[in-house]
Amino acid sequence: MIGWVFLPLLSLPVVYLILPKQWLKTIISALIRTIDTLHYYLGEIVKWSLPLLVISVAASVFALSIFGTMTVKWLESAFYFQAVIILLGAAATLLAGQHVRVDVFYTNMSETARARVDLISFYLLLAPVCILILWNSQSFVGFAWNTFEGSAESNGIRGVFLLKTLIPIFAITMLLQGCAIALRAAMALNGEDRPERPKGMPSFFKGSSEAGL
Amino acid sequence: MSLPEILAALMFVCGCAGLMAGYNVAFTLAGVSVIFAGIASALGLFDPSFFLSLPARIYPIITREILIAVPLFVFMGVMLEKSKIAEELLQNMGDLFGPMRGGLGISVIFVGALLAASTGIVGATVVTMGLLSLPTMLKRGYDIPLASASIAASGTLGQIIPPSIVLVILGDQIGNAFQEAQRSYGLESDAVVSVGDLFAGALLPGLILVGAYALYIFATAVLSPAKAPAQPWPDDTDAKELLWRSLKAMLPPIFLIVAVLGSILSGYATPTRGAALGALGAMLLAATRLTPEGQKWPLWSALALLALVALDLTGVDLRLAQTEWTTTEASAGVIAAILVLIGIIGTLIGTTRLLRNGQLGDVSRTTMHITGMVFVILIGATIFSLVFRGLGGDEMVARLMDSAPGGTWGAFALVMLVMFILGFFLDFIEITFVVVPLVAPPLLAAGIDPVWLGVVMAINLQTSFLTPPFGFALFYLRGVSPPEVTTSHLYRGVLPFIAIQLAVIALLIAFPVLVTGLVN
Repeated sequence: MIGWVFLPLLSLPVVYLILPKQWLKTIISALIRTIDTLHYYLGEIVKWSLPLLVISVAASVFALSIFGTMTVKWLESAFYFQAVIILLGAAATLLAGQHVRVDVFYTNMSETARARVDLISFYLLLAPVCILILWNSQSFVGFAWNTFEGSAESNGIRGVFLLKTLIPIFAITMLLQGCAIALRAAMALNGEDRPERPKGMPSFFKGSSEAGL
Repeated sequence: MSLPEILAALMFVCGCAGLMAGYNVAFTLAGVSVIFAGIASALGLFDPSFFLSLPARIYPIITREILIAVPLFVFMGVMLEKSKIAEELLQNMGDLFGPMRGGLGISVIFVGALLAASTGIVGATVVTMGLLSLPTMLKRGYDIPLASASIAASGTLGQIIPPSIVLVILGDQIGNAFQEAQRSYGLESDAVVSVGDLFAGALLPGLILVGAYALYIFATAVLSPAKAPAQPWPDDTDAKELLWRSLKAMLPPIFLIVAVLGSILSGYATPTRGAALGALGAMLLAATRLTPEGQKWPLWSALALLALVALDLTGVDLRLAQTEWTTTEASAGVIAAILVLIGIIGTLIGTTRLLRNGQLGDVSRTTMHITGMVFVILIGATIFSLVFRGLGGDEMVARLMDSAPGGTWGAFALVMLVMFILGFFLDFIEITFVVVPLVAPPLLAAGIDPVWLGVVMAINLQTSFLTPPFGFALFYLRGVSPPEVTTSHLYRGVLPFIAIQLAVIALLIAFPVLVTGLVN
């Protein structure tokens, strides 16, 4: 069901590759900017979980091993910080091009070849995986929401259902960001300039145009 | 081989080949397996409802206590690096040991071993070390092959010296494999293997490697002084002042790492908690550097927290829940309360400074990227393994290893060879997540010691990263080195280091007690 909603969006890179029309370019540029900006700021917010994680775990060490006092809720908060960093930060990581690639050959490829790899791989690899996760998490998350599942500990945080909901959200954000990159790749293959990237983000497929974005 | 097994084998080959195209690793692994699952279910060989368990497999990955150590250790490493503590350490050691033959080279090895530990991604470490120290070494007239190879080698060295995230991940996987060996392969043992065990096991081999590297550089410097020239202290320096300055730069980070490691190995803290203390310590050190002279709140805070731990180690009962407070306990309690107060104030001041300066944000962003990268690969590898097992690939691997000539040790040699070759193309994390769960259970069931297996695997992979023509570390270093450093310089320089690696592996095979001696 959810998959169908994404279908028009997901087909955009290929549609644009076949039909490089000006009006479509406007829409696509706006779309790329929106997705990039969304995930950039999501990442900028989510990253603050890290200092919180450090302080929360460190504080629990002192409280627990020295003063023998600690609440289950405090201990469990670490899992929430951790899950938020991984699952919500993953799209920002993809945006920043920080998911590791095997670049033995990739570094020596032409910009067109790289764009081609990214476009094809989006359809062949990233999109199917994200849709698979999304599809199969429906019942998993549904069950958790039915009971508003909480911690297994009686006085733990009653938010396990929220934690589990992060899994489909992860799949959606990765799908969107992957799509934005595939759109850039399609624009690169049509030899056009791409929209500017949020500040501090390295550019993809640079060199094929002066702007190199 | 049955049809599903042929598919599983094909999937493994296609996965490796697909990775060469250069799309991101996590989704290549997962995507290839999804494609093969599709083919297999079209042929009626794979039940797609298998994937229903997928979210239930992802969920434990993000909520496993031990894996929280990964972002914490990365945070510590990135903080030490971005606050220039690492850079200063290297500079000062280089100055101090400059007059010794090969002194700078030995400093590079030492700093690499100490600081590379916490980031643990080959590429990142080698690049940092290369940018930091290669120009200096060349400026001081070091032989190009020697200088470049010692950086490549020390960049990979950090991976097997605890506390490193590589050992956290490997320890977790080996621990799971050991349970699997007990459950499915009938290994009669109820022991568990923890990340702390792997830390303890890797300590001595790691130190032996550091010692051997340093010895090699020293020997080279003595035999042919032109290759690693000594450099006298600058004329105007006062020996005492230089010594003091170096100590001030060297002691805090060294103490931090040793304290973290000590707390974990002694069992005072779990790896995750030790990592959190390390990350907090790194924050306070970085904040101290930003503080103007005279107001060293973050430093006082760090010392107060240390004193608090020391107080706890004296065995005074400070549990707040107790009803009977003796006089000693009450006075210790008052001291503890004051220390806690200093700790909190200093941490707050330090955090504010780092926040205003923008460093905390930068460090957090980089840490988030590295953490996201590691865990998404773990998720991708989980999907890959799920399909591989669904097609019966794990039984095929077990059978293959069973039929290896030479029994258990033949299988062991085969696994090592395969990992060595995979190390040419893949980073530590991918190999650990994909290969270890497949090959480790049968090996462990045959009676190989789990900690020993983990350590030898780690050193084996590290050697692979150094081996031309594909070695990862060489590629990365080549990317950041000045133009006068050529690939052939690197290849020539790295050969002795590979010889050292192989010698150490042989040593560990001959004397397993070097690994197992410190465990428990």
